[in-house]
Amino acid sequence: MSEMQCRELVGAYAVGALEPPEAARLADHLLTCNRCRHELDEAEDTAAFMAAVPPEAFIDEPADPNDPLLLRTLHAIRLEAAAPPQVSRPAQASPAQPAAGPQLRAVRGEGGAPGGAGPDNGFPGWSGQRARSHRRRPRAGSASQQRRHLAFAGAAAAAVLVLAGGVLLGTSLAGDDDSGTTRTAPIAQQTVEPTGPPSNAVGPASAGLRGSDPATGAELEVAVSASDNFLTLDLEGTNLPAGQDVEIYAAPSVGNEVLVATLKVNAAGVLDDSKTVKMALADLVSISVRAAGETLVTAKRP
Amino acid sequence: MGGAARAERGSSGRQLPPAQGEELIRQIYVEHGRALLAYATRLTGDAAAAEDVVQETLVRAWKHSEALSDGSRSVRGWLLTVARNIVTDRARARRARPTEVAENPATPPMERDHSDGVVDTMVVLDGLETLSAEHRRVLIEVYYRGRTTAEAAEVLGVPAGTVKSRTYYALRALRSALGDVVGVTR
Repeated sequence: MSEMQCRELVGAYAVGALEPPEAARLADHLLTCNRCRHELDEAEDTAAFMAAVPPEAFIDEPADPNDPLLLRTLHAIRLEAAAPPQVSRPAQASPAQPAAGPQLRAVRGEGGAPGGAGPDNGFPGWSGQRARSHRRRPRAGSASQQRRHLAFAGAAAAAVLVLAGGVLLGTSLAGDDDSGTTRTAPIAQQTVEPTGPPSNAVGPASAGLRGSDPATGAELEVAVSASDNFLTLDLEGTNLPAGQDVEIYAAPSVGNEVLVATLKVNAAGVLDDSKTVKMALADLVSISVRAAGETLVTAKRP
Repeated sequence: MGGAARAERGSSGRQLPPAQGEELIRQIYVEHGRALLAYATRLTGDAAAAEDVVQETLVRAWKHSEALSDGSRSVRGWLLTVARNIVTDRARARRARPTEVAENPATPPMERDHSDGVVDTMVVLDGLETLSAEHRRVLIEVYYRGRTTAEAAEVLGVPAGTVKSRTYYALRALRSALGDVVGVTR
């Protein structure tokens, strides 16, 4: 086996991906070749860093926007948003700020994920469960070995890494430009540029509907936010019949009204809930609250 | 009474439902929710606890939505790190404190790890992101999915020899990408 041939095997060897016969041949070569051993050291050091990223980071299938988990989470967020402001922290203001479309940078996994690794696939090769290197390392106590040990020790090490991660995270979120390298401009700067939001297609959109009914005294305010193909309705109604079930209808510009939900008005005559409906924002004309076929109040666009 | 109260709230600039932040969270969930939930499930070993962790992570993401949406760093790395922090914090809170105060050599304090150059999830994900698609894919297969070179060759549709050399060069590329950040190069 020539040195160059061996050199190129070192990477696969370092991550434990070589078939045993080939690994054995390389191990023989390493006994006599300092340069390849040095290469292996570097490859193993680099592989050890990869342990900071869990294998789940490469699951790429999109989640369902109708998952109850997401809806629960959004509800929790609304509760927090409605709570009186506590310690003033800059991030608190951000949701209300008229920002451009979120500019998330996806971490690409593999292009087409054939068959895909579902959340339950278990990732047999995850370093927490399997030693990554073919080589037993006889040297003890070196700094690099300790680092490697920490990175490889699976769950226990994960907890340790968290602490370091927390520190790094804290500092990187505290400032906009702490990394020292030039990166994308912060969103605050981008919004003042006249070019407009970069991603209108999927960008957020919202509308506020309101209305009152002089006959029943009921009032209704609906904050609507749009996603790909559904709307989230934040409903706030007052002076509604206490304790009664009411139906919420969304009226599109074309076609029939859609029953969004049947909700119970609380004992104070207040309705405060959030529901989703499959409709485009541009199509939505009004939201009505009805009981026993009678319209109590209708909220319209201003 | 209700009407008057509402009018007052309305005129005093009551905080509108933060549609912007919610939209961000919705997008984050669609894009990263499955990775996040799978990770939280492995860490907690419990589906309900994992969902709690995901929810808490997303609420924190919402609180930091400005920093998250500036596009300068890996959102997924941030989310995974926060989820792991939450799991760790909860585990720590459950433990009896007195016995845990003594420093265990197996769990050195964070300052030491920090200065020791242990890099965090976001940094490594960012580093992987700078690699070519071919390099990134080969590392995902042979490292994160634990495939042998032969298995990876089949998945990637390239000869096994290519997987081997590509792994070598991908590690070198990652090393130089991380070197800028954590001073790996010696």
